[in-house]
Amino acid sequence: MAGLALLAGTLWGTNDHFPFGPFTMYATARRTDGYVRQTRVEAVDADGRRFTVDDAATGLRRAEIEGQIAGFRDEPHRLASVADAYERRHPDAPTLVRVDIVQRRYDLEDGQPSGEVTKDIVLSWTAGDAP
Amino acid sequence: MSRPVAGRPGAPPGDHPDGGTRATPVASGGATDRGGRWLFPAVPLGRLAAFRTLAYLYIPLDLLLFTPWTLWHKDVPGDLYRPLLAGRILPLPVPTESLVLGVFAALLVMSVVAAAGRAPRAVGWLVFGLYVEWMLIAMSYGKVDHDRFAYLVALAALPTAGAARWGDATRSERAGWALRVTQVAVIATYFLAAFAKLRFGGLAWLNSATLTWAVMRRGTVFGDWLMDLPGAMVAMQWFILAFELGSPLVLVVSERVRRRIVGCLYGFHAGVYAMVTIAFWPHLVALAAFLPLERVRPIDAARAARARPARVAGP
Repeated sequence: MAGLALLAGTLWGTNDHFPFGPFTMYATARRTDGYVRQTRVEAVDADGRRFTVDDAATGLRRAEIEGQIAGFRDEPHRLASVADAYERRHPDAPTLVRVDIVQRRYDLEDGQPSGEVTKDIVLSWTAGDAP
Repeated sequence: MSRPVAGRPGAPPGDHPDGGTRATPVASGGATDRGGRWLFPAVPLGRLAAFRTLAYLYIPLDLLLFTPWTLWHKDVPGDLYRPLLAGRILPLPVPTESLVLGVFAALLVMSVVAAAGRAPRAVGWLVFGLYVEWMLIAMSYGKVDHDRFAYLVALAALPTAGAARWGDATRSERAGWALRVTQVAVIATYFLAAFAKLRFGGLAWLNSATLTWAVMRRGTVFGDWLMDLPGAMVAMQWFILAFELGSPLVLVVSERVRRRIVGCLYGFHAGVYAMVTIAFWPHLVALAAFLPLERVRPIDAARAARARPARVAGP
């Protein structure tokens, strides 16, 4: 039974069918003249300090932030929940007034980094934004 | 004293492809046909007991060391919870701080009880249920990991084997079945990973920049060095797909060859870790289902080590 579910998951399933979904680790073919994208969360706190928010700071891994980007794009106010998570994990720290999703693009040439890097703030939330 | 385990009647004792001493009693009967013998090999109960201890002791390490981020989800607001199909069907509640802490504490305690071999069926199924819930808490925030299918199969198979004591040489087909299905799940992980690459990446995956992508995002000094070697990344992609497609051979070769290949698999995972610091920890635990773990006797070894200096110290 488990074997059949796994086979079906591999052929037609998605990650939603865990643990029977396809084993998609690094399964897509990246273009050798494309780019490598790296995502991170940056924040500004009530003292005006800007810093990179790591996985432990919010309880959300980088890959989880990346996996939810489409949802954040549709409803940017949901980034407030990232600030909430930070505040729960740092009850004594100044609250966050701004959360940015920042992506760096490292361009590739023939499968090797060309040295060209671009940085973009792809999504942003500021305290007081209308939901 | 070991309790004989009911099994399939028929085959003579002594024909044991899984090694170990031959002059041992067989707890269960023998499978009559070749396929049955393959699926229900009579293996020493001590091997099952050792694997069970290893598998359950992995859970505290998983909770505290390897994937501490699952516990962090207790602080993540519920609107970032994206339940997977299993979580929606069951339907499991949105994780709250008390739910996550409760499952965490229960798993920590029950996994140690299970590792000691207490009430292996009842405790085993309880641990399985708790761990599945833990996995759904882990994987329902936007990222699903693919390192634990075989480990979940092991957790589901272990309770079916029943009682087994460390060091017991009695052979059991139930123990053999539990280890065999875990082995099949390990190999299925490699084999089906190749299909996922062909499905999502196609043949273009072979010459793509996927490993370069992986190394650039989370590479080590060793990974960067390999990336600078012309053609190394593409060569490794060809190797990975070929080895994944060929992995089912592991299940049909002789026991001696099988153990050598399993040694190479551990080497492969060590190489991946050196390159991108990704280790499939629970998968590596499940991979140990291939090994004659009954020969690892840490308690006996410690006793012997303690006894030896006393003798040497004498006049």
